Amino acid sequence: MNEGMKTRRSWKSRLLELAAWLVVALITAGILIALSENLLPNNF
Amino acid sequence: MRILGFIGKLLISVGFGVLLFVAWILWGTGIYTNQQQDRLADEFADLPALQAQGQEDQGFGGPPKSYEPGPGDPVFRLRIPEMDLDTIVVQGVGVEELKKGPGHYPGCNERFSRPLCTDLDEVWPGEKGRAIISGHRTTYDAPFWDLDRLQKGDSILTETRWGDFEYEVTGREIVQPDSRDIANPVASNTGELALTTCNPRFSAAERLVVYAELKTSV
Repeated sequence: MNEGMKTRRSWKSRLLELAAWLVVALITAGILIALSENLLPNNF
Repeated sequence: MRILGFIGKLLISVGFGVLLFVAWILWGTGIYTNQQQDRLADEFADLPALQAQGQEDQGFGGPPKSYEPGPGDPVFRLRIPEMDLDTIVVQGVGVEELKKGPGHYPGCNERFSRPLCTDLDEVWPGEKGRAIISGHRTTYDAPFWDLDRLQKGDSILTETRWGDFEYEVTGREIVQPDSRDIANPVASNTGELALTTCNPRFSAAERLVVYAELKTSV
């Protein structure tokens, strides 16, 4: 009966995935901030 | 298809991280500077008054020779009405000092080493010679964001512990970042102020220098 139909994901699962991607974004920003003193010229 | 979806989400996420970084650099760094400025303003207000030394009879006067503030210490208040700027200037132009606010270019000694200092006599507001102040244009509250708006005749006020001095803008120029000429001015019989920052905005390709001449001691 359900063959060929996509399984709907629960909102909890979607929220968890969103949180995981947000963590990736924060880690990216954190790495760039940590490196910024080397990346950016003085007195920018 | 699943791998493409994963890569797409990863790129969006990393892109969002880059945007957060840019927001931090442009505005977040100002939070630190504002906190430091609040502290420096209190410290500056508590500093004792100093007797001006030098050519007071001619409207000039600097701090006593014993005045030797350390890196990051508040040294004077800088007001530029045309830029809506009212800020505490700190001693030194190193990375850490400029995070707190505009920095006064110091003389070389055990606490300040080349190239971020001058071998010539250190010049303070009110003294003959050229006092140099350097500040951020884009980050750390961007105190010199509008430096290019200054025109000939605009007023620059310095409030020091040995007196208040008014300068008048005389001109400006754009120099290469490694130019050392502004720190080695031709000897003049006047008091001068040179304000320097990055140019253009969001770039460190050049340096913008605004010159001002001592008009009055207030």
